[in-house]
Amino acid sequence: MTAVARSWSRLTLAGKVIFTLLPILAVLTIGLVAVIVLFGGGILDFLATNLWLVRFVVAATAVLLMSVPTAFLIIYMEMKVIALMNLRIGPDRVGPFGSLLSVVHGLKVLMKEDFSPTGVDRIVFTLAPIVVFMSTVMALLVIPFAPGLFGQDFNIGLLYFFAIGGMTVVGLLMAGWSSFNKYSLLGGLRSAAQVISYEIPLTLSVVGLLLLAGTMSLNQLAENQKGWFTDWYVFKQPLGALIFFIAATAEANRTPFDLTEADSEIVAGFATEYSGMRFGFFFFAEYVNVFVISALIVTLFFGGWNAPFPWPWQVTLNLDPGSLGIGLLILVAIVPVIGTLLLAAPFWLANSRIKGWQALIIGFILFNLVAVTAIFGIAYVGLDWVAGLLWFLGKTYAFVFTFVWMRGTLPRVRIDQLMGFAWKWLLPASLLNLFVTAAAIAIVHPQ
Amino acid sequence: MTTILRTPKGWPSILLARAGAKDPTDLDAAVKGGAFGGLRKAVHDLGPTGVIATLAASGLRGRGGAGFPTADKWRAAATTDAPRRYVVANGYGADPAVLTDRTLLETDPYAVIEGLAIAALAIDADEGFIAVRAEAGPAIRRLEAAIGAAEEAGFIGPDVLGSGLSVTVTVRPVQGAYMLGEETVLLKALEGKRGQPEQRPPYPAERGLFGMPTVVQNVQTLAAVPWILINGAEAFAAIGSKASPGTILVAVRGPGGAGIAEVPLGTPLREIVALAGGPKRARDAGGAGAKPGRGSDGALKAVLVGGPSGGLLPPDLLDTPYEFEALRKVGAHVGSGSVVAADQRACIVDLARLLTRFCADEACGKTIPCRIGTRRISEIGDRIAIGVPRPTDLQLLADLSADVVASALCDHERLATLPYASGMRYFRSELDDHILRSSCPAGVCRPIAVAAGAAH
Amino acid sequence: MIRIPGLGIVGGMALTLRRFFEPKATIKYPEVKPDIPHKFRGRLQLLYDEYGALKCETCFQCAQACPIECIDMGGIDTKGRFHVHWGAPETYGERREESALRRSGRTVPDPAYAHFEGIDPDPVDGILEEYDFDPKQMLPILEATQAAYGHLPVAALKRISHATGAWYAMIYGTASYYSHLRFERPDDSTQAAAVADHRPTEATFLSGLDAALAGGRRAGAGSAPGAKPN
Repeated sequence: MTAVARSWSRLTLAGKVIFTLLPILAVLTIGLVAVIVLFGGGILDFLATNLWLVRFVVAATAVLLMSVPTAFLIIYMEMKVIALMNLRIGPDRVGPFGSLLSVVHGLKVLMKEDFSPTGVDRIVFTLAPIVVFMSTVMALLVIPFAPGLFGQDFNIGLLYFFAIGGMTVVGLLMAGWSSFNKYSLLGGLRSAAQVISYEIPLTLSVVGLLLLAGTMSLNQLAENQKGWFTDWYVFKQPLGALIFFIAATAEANRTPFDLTEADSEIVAGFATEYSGMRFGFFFFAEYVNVFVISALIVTLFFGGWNAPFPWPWQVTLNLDPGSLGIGLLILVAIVPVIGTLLLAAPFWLANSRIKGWQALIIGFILFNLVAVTAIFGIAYVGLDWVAGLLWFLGKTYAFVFTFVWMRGTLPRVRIDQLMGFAWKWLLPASLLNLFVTAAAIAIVHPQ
Repeated sequence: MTTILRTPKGWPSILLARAGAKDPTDLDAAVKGGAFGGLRKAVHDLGPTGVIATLAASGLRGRGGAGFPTADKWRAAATTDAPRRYVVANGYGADPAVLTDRTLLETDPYAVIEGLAIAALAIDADEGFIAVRAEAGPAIRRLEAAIGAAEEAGFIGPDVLGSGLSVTVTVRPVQGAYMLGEETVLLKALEGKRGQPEQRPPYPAERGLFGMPTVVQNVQTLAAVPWILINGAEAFAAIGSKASPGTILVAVRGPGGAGIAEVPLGTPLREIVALAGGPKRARDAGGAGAKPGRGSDGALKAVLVGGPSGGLLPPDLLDTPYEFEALRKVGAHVGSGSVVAADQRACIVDLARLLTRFCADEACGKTIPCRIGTRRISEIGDRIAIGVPRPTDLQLLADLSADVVASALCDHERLATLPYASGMRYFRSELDDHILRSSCPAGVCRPIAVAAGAAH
Repeated sequence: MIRIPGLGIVGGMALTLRRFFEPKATIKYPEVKPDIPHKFRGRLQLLYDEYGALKCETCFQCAQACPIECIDMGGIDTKGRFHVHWGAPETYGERREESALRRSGRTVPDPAYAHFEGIDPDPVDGILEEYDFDPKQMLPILEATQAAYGHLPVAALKRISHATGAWYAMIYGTASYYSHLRFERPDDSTQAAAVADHRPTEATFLSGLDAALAGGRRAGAGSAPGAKPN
């Protein structure tokens, strides 16, 4: 054996990986640097003329990056909120108040053995989680988070959303079918049946809204609800909102419609044969889906990124820090120091037990709080997207809390009750809503 | 029928007064002999408080072995508030070698019935039970006949001597456990439950049979009550010793035979042993060095006082008065009223081993110190007798006995430590012979030292 | 009261929301230790001593005390009976069919289960009538049952338990305590010998006392060490 071969055989697996990857990475980095140096200018020019491309890439990256932490957050919320409702404490030890637990769950899912059982259809088996996850994440593209803060503003945004939602069904069926397991197949079929049954009331319930608003663009719908909260569409289409809410719960496989994935049912339904990161995809997809439907409900019926009441007075903050010139630099240097000292002084003077350095630390923390609040206030008032984002996220998470709340309260419905409810109650109700809205429009605003 | 030994003329005859009667169940003869006079006095003159006061003045103590003042027990039962009360006469006689209670019931059932009735009237109970050994056929038959006759005559039953009070007396044959001699165990058996003792306090006088105040007395105690009521408390207090007045039935066994005698409490052991042929004079008592032999008059080695859980006393202590406190002080107890003289043929270790083994086997098993402690004591004794003792054995025996006594629930375990405790106290040389020199002076045990080094 | 659909859901969710804010029932062990009652015993578990022997002496206290009668004794008790009963009293006899025996690894038929064969209930019913089904008369009832059958069959004890209302554990405890009551058949010499070996009679004591006082060695029993607890 040559010396190289001998040293190679002595390495651990991690060592082998590193020794293979490092040279490859080095080459790639050099290649990349070379490309940038050689073609950098050309690339930049190209991008400047095709800003939509930049925008697209940024949006897609942002959405992808944002989805996983959102999933983590919602998973943590679910565990904690349901525990608190059950008079338990929930995650407590990992991180402050157990907040790092979902991160740990994510790591765990990554570390699990990633196998595919014998007899599965390899390609379909591998693609199914991707399809499900991607269809959920793609829906995030059209949601307007704040004025000007959205992925794409299709003028058929709502239709796009429902179309993408239909792709989830494909993913579910792929998963159930390729698992080579009758119970997975049954679970997948049930799941698919549930989703497509509830898609009809889902889409029909917003048609009334579309009639009223006249546009399918989600951004436009959000803007239409500007003003007081009474302008929100929930007051104009209460039945539609209710049906949408129920149907959306079923679409997302949430309690009380979660029998396809409940443990006491057919194990994990279509996802029985999946483990490791493949299962992680399904898992995260579900929670991102919860976020998406909450966001959608907020956008469609509850005002989107609008505050419930408009600011009664006009506040314009024409701050132009740049005009201070060098003064800005001096300000940035002096203000924290003065602020700390000012805020520390009362503590140090009033209480003799607090030493100087302790007072300074307290002062510093307080100054940070004050400064952050001030900056935040300025941003809120000055930049409209901050306010919008805040309201949007607040309302969305309120709905996420409601979904979690329902999970902690309600029992599951049976499959036959589920299907019966969709076809016998929601569908006629949404049709009724549609007819009444149409009739009202015809009578009140014939045009 | 057991022999009733001849006693010196000066000794009073309270319990065995009518012992010579031809037919003990003949009510008329008994009444002529003085039966039910006490009951009449109790009903017509004294009343419940008077009875208890008389008994208190007389100083009568229970003859069951513990010697608790009878009047205190009756007073406690009478003053406890309850819908019903019971009286139980304990004629079981747990010691298999001692037949005193049974003999009393056979020779004079009316005394016991009368005492029971007086007790019932004193504490306002309307039901009394006489617990007898199921094997004591004659006693049961005579008792039942006596009860029938007494009921007919109106001494017990729904209307006692026309007073309107009612006392029902039932005979309850019990069998099957040595522990039935203990009062709470006897009550359990009468209730039909497993015979395991209860924590006391609360004493049966407060909470006993079926949860009601119950007076449990030995039949000898009850038989003495009529005599006290007729003859007066002072007369009774004059008999026997100051702290323990009255007489007691003792089952003596010695070289001269065995039998029952009515002995005034306070009599020195020597005189009791002499009833069965023991040494009469101090100098006749043998010690170590006397030749072992059969029936030799002066070869007394030890006196076992108190039955299977009694103490082994050396001849030096023959002057100990036979009464409750004095015997306890020397490490024995009145117990079942058994005095057995052992001569030089007997080995102390062997005797103690037998007694402790019996106590361990008869343990009810409720508490750990008794169930396991007595077994361990028995095992240590076995080790000493066989010849595989450990150097710490005697210390262990002493510690174990102390622990058992300290943590005991009932007296069975406390007294089960007495044989070895008194053996260590008075016969240490004999124990040392077994342990250190692997020899048995009496030639009974074969303590062959298997591991000679271990014994030293 | 008209049933408004959805009101139940609202009511339920209002409850959980209220619970969301209520103080939690979890005890954060080990920072906070729970308040354990002084005599808490924890899990019922038989302990072993340092020699590996079971410390349980089958003294029957726990079976008598258990309010739900879920304890029964097995092995040799302090009175030297050998009854291999396992589990709660009502589970054997009724539910232990042969397949359960096989599944539990026991041979079928198990000689211990000979105790559970049926008996003619008339004698015991007559005895119960005579004593008016009074559990306080348990000893006379048991003695009469033994007189009728020659021993105390388990089926008879169960009958007595059903009829009088006394717990089976109590009856078994009473019956196993008194030496004149026997569970083994009169012709079962092996069991009888085993019982006699563990529980000497009073006659043994008396003859032993005679022998000890006379200085002779007791026949056979002299060198036997004390009976070991199981």
